[in-house]
Amino acid sequence: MALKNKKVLKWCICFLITIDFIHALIYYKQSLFSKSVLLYLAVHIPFILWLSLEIYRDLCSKDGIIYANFIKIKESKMPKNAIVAVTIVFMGNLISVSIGKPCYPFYDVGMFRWSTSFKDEPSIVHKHKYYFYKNNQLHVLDLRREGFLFFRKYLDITYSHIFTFSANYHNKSRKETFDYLSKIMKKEGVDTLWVGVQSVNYKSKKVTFDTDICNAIKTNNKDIHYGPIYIPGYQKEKCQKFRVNAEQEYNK
Amino acid sequence: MLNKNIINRLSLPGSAYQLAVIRILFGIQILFSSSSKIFDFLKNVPGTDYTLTIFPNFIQNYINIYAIDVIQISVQILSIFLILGLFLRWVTPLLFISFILQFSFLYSKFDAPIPWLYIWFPLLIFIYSDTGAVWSVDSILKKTKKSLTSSKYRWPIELLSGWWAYIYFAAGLAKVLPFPKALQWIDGGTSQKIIYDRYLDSGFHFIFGEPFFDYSQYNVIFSILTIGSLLIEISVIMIFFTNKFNLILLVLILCMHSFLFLTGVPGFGFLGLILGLSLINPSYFHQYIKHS
Repeated sequence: MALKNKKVLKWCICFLITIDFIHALIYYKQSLFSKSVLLYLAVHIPFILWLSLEIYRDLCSKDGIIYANFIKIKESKMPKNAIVAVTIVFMGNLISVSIGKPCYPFYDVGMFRWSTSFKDEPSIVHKHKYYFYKNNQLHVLDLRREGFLFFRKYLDITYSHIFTFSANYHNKSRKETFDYLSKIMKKEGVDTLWVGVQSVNYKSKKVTFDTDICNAIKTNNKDIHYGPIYIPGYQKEKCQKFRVNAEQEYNK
Repeated sequence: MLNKNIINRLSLPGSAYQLAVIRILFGIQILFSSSSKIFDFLKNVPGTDYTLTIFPNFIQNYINIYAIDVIQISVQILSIFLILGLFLRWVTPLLFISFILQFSFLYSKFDAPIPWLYIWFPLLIFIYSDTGAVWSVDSILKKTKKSLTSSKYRWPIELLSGWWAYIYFAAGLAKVLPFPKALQWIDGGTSQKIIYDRYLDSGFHFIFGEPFFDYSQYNVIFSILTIGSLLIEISVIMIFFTNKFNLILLVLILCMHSFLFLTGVPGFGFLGLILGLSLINPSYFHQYIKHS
């Protein structure tokens, strides 16, 4: 048994090296023919060949590990159809993990796989959020907060965190998102949504919310995390009026 | 160590109660997920457009434009049947198909594996397993006496635990492959970026009101978090070789999810817990339920 354990462990390591080879081919495709990349890829080849040979030998042998495990699965109470279905799922996911690409429902589970080198960032982060007044009080529509079961204030439980993620990040620059949110908030008795800027200063640890509608327009750019938010036309018009009035005052 | 590997464990005694609990919890989760307003919302906005599904474009378009309403209602009704354990023989394959179709709509417009990744494989396993032996209308109607510790309740549980392990191990692998990238990944820059960018949308902000330290500067905590999550994810591969560490791994993963919940990634914790119930030894389950 100890020998078989060692063999399986060696297979696992070589299998990882094989997957790494495929990932490296994809990851370094821009610089594939540089010396360092070619050397890195070449190091993998003996391991891949050894693994292929080992698996071939094991399949040919009557007391091979793969055959023994296949018999064990067959002897379990698992129905034959289930074995076939699980094999298909296993193969689908194996391909997906090997090439690092999902094809629903096969998935390589690669969320947060991107790597970013550490760097000192600006100490202030801005986040544009919708806000409204109700009973003369300022309320910020913290969309992500509404997706958390215990933190939600305005939306019901069916507006799940998936909805708030989509509305708050993927689709925040779309008019349709704003219209959808306005419709929901109208049911809550909210007539007008404005865009304001929430900021966190990581140095002073202070969080502030700026209701200045013109500042929100001015700072709403593509550098913001997931891009700019949709700002309604009436906010732009009102801001424009402020500017015209201010200019007239100044000229007087 | 390999004496208790996942293939050997397929033939060990199981617990009909464990399978029933998982069936009911998945039923509730599916009902909740399929009723989310995200489906209504994504009919109005285009969402992300770069994800791939196994369906050819014309089928995916047909689902997205014409069939989604009917499919959504079907999933909701079938999930209620799954919770009740009624007509499971027909409900499980129908629910599997309709679930796959409904969430193909979601994935084609929303690039994240929530919540379908945790659910679709268990649903496939439910088709072939006896999930309604107890706590189901079917079992009340049939009134046949069964052994509730047969290995026919064990193999589905072991496959579910394998799926759980696959999800986290693959997540770990994706971060470290190719290996030179891992060196960059473990310096903590990615953790810093997530916490830094999403602070104002996170549980940390909603609960504590202010950041704990200056997230814009280097801090060794980011590296510790990154290496810790990586070690936890990679170590779940042990589940395939032994079930000795199942509970420790489950607790570690749930701790990781609790932290992610606070950083503004709330989606996976509860799903990880439901699927993670398959990591509990069936004998504990059986004894506890019998005694209570």
